[in-house]
Amino acid sequence: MPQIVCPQGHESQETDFCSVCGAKMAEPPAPATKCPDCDAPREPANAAFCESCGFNFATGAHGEPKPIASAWEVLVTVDPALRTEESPAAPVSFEPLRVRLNDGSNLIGRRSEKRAVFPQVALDFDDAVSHRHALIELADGRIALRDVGSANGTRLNGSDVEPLRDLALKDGDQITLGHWTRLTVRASAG
Amino acid sequence: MNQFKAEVFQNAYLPVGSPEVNAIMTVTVESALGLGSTGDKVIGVIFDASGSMEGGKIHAAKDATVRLIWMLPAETTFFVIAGGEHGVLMAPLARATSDNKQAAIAAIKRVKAIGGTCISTWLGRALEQFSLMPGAIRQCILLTDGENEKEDEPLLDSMLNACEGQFQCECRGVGADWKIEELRKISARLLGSTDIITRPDLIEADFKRILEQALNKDVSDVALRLWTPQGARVKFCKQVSPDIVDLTGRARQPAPQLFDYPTGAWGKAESRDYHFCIEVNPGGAGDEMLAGRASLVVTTSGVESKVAEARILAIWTDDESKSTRLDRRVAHYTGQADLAQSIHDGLDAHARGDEETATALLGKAVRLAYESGNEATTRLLRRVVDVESEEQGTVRLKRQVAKEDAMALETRSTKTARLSRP
Repeated sequence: MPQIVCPQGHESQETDFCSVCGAKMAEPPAPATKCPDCDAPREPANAAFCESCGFNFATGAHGEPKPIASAWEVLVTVDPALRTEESPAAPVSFEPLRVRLNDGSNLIGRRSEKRAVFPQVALDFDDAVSHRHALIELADGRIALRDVGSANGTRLNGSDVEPLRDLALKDGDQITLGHWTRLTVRASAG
Repeated sequence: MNQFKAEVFQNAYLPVGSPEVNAIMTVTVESALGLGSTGDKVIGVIFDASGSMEGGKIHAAKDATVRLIWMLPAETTFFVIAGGEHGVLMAPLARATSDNKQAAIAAIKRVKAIGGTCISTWLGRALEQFSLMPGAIRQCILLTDGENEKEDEPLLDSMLNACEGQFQCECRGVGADWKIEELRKISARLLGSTDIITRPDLIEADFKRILEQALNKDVSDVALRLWTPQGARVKFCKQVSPDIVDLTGRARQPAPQLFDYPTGAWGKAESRDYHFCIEVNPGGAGDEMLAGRASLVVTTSGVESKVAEARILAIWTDDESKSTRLDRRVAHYTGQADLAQSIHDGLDAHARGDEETATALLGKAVRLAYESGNEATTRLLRRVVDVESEEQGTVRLKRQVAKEDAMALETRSTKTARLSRP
């Protein structure tokens, strides 16, 4: 539970009055009822975007968050050596794939139209990869891997990754997952 | 499922610089089935079988206990203790089956009134029995006609410490030779009431009423939890309806700023009022703060759950039209507490022979009872004083006052009237 700070500076566990000193908490600002950009009414009241101009109420920008220019990419390869006994045979003629990480948050997974999952790093050829498998997040020049509760787990440089925990990545790190998929993290030059 | 409802009545506006916040909280249970207890009910009966009970009283007490046993539903559990110098277990804890009832009644018939009165031993026996069924609703009835032996006093105090929170106890005094303070001490600690049964033939009706109330309870071990802000002080916390019980010194402190006051078991459609008086650090004009957060906490096999909550506010203002208005309920119960105090002090003065003070205080009591519509108390007052004017509170002390009448007035003076709808 996030801590809330009262006007006296106490950390409160209640949202109406401070749980330490009883001071009345400041009212949260009323949510916008119309688009600050084009004055169109915000409908429904909790809409994330303006229906008229596409203004994003959360970020204050238009449209989806802009891609950030990043120097990071992953190289997707198939490594038959990773195969376990239950795995099907690895595809023989798999062309290594370079995926540039352009978003703040990059999903590794398998595409599903039905579930509306469209991963940035799509590994549709390996059915032991979860639809939502892991995330590579970029923020303030740092890069981190997080397994988001995949069914079959993720390994970083050969050791199992604890789900839902961020692990810093560096150039050359090896992420292995699924039957025989290997991702190599690379800081590309330019 | 749980239907506890808590509502606070107060005038939240305080004059600038004033620290005292008063509020009345009304707690109502619509249905509390399945909360807090296993659903089992244990009824314990302790009747005085000391030498002083010899004659009509022991017969009436035995008869009333036998009748009460017959009334017990088969799903309840019961035990019976005959009290003398020692508490003697006449019928150990058992289901109220027809066989067990008959065995208990046969044992009760053999009881003879003999020996002294050592109430601590009676309660000790009851505690042993109740502790066999800790999850049940545990209700005891204690009937006596005399004073506890002086030597038993310190033992009784430590026994009450052991019994507190383990069972509830209703205390009844038969006749006029028992001490109100003594039984009040027991019933207050064990969350029951004390009342007088003026004649032995009235015991049965009273037992029946206690049993009905006990069987109606379906949630036990409810605590009233009061949170106060840092630097605040709880001046008092009292139950004010149906009767006045001062809980101020009874709180446990599960954490800093939290006070847990015991309220015992609750039944269907039960409603009680509480009066909180909290002193906080006063604020300036326009400041608003929470002076208290009152909630009801039910503990089920070690797990606490909050079943109702209400907030007590303080808003400082320099607008006198707001800050000088007294909340009707706060005013009413302040008056009822004043009424009980006037009766207590008035009877005290009367006993000392100070007729002037007694007349003044009992007269004030008559006026307060009249103003608040507390007719039950007015009726009891009229047996002690001749009333000339209820409105003015002018009275004359009766020349002859039966001791039972004075005791009935004193024991029942803490019964309050509820405020009628405006």
